[in-house]
Amino acid sequence: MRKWIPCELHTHTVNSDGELTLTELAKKARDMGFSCIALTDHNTISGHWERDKAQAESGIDIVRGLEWTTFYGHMVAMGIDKYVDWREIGPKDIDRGIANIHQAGGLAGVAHPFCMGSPMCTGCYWSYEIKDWSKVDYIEVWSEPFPSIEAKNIRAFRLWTDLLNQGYRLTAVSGRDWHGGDCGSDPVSVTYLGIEEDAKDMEKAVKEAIAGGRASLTMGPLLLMQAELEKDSSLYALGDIAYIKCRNQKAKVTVNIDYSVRKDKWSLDDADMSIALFGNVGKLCEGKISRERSEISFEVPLENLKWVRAELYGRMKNIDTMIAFTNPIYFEEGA
Amino acid sequence: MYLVIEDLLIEKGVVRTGTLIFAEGKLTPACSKSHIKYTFNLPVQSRRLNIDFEYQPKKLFDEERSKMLIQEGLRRFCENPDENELNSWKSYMPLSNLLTISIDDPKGFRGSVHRHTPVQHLFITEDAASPGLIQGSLPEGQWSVTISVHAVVTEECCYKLHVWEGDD
Repeated sequence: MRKWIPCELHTHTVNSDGELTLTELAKKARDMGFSCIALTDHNTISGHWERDKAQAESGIDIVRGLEWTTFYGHMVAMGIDKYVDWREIGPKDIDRGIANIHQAGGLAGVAHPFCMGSPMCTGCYWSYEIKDWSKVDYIEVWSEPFPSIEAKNIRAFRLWTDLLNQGYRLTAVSGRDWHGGDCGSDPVSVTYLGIEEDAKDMEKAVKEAIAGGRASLTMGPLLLMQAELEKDSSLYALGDIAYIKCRNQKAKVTVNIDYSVRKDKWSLDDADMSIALFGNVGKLCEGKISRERSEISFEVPLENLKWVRAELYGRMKNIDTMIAFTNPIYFEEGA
Repeated sequence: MYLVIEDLLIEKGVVRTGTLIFAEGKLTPACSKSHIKYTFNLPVQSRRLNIDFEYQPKKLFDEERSKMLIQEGLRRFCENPDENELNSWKSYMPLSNLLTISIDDPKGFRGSVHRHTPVQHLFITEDAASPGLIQGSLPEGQWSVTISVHAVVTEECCYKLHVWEGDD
């Protein structure tokens, strides 16, 4: 069985420019309803030594990582227990940098690609030339509180969609870039990762979930999606590749909304809500949902369809916006 | 450009032994996105390594210069910057210089101090270190301190670096 755990995948402590120690941060994350955080201090791993204590005292899991805070972009190395160097990586060398992160056992994620860069925020805007996007494991599509309304995130979401359309299967995640502070009433986003119920090594499980696209992003309820192909008994979940026999086939795509997650930690305005399915061919379909209706299914023609994702729309803080979206299920012709 | 005095350093009227690097430098905006690496020899295993680092000025208060740099950034980083966006330049003031320190011992990385304070008194010992640095033994051999110049926005930015081994 798979469970979906709420994660915060981009954090900083006093080991770089954060406000809290790792233990303090982990306890605060727990109180906000997270069960896992990634420690991604700027350019150092000195916080890794506090991991055992922070896990024991907070009861949540901590994935070790670091954020390459370079001159040409920020990249998260996720799930590493050793330092990987960025200082000799030039603006055209990031493919080598990514290979080095992989060699150290980590995943490589592009952080907040369209954040304002130097000198407002040094190196924050992504300007590395990536020769091979297939080597990038994930991209932070949502950054900082109330991410869905920020121009930089809308742009990142579009970049991710363009890459999916080009055939790259990189995972979208949310990372608050949390330095330990509060954000008032602004909604905080969560990356839910699908991991095996009995996973022993959480770092490994988190990496596998991100690499496998088993991720759903939200500022509120948890959004999940599965697909069932016509004349095929298998069920496909987020990140899966569904092999289709003929393009005339249809898929039944079912979207579930779980309003019970992180109870009392978020609120939706009382307004109409809808679920839309998107793919490489654009918007496929849309349907109204409500608090009382937590499941909706659509028939989707598979002709020309390479991927499909679900998006939840509603209202938060008086703004009509996207509330949540899933990573895709992919379709490929094959056995 | 900088001054290295081996073995002895006269500072505040006190002769300090154990000085490994004592240097000053002047940077200009052209130095942004570069590293300055000081490699030195630690002749014997040490109990404590100290790094004092400071730079100034930290902030740019010149409005005309700030406006030019910020608007240049907004044109580059915003997709379709409109007049409102470009006129919002003051909200990004004051711009800051950012220089950060990282340390390598003969075997590899010993931490980095990526934070904004322009005056830093750092140390490493066997069982403790300043946040960002990695505690542990201090073996003899070739060490280095790297200053990463993330941004210089003022016309000039001066730094001082003092590295010494010993107990205080």
